Amino acid sequence: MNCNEANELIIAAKDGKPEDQSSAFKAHVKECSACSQLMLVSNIRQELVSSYSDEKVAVPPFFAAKVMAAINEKRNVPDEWTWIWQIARRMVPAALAVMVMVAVFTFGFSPNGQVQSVGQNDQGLISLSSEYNRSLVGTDGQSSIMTSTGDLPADSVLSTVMGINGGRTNNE
Amino acid sequence: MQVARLIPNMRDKKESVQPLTPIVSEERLTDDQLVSAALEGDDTAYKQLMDRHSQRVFSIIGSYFKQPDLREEIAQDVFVKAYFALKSYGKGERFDAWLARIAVNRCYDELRRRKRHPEMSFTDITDDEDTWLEGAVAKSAKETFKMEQGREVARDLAEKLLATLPADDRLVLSLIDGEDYSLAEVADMTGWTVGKIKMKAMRARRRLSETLGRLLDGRKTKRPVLTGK
Repeated sequence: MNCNEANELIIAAKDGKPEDQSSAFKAHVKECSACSQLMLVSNIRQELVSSYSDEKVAVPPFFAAKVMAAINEKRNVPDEWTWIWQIARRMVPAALAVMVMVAVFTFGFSPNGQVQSVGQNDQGLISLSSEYNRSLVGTDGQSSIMTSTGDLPADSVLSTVMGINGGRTNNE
Repeated sequence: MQVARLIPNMRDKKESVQPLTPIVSEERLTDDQLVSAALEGDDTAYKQLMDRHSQRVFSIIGSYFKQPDLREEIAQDVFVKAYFALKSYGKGERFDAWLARIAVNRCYDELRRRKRHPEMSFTDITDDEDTWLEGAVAKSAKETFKMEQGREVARDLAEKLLATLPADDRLVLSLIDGEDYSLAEVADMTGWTVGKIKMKAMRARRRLSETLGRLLDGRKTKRPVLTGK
């Protein structure tokens, strides 16, 4: 028997003392100081590990009551998904409100049916409209937009739609 | 006079008081019956289950953690978790084994969370621990061990040594070598295969033996040579 084989047997045994010790093993350990040292160390190791576990652990007083209190507390706390769902439910009306506000600021809104003037922040939209106006320039050099009352000059249509008089916004 | 006359009456009254009717029947219900009752909302039934099994849960936790507050916190977690998982408990299964599985897993999580100290040198041990080792080498460990103080020292030294192991190795070693569970029982508790557990136990023993060997070598260089007699 060599040291590797003896080591395997020693480590496999809880306390470093294999139950079935062959004569070869005994002879090897007797002659090999390293293996006999490993047996001693394994024995001490087992003493230490079992000493760590052998302590009698008493159940603290009122333990069951504390657990029941913790259970009741947890019962009353909604779980994560409930929280997410509650937040989502609050977010939906808020998101709708934001969307309506964006729509009002973008497209304008008037309770009496008239188109309101645009704010200064909508200059980008005005310039976009001007681009569109230019694209409608006809062969006669005049821009026009087809309306229900016939072709009207694009300037006047856009002025009406955007609330611009003479190329100036109402805010100015 | 009146008081003197009253006292015997009170005593008679006290003696005649009937014991309170127990809320739970004296008849011993099985774990399965108590689980069913707990699932129907009977908290007393769950309390009974706790009374029956909390000692074992504390023993399992105690083989990993020595701080009483931490032990109680973990045990509380175990029973709260078990309560909300009662639906997953299969009838006919052993309740104590099911509960032990939850306890072992909770301990494993805690061990993994803790910082491991991979190395340990001779400078990490106290004088008392050094003396304990000296006694152990001189083969009087059993005698040293019998003394309460010796036991405490051994536990402290064991804690330092066990802290050098990875969480899974420590879990297995404590269950097999510390708590004397069989490989099959550990496999049931951890969900790992017997082969894997065996390998982890061997690895843990080897590591601890190496560390302990180094400590003893450190002693030899610091102290006079031990004869072992």
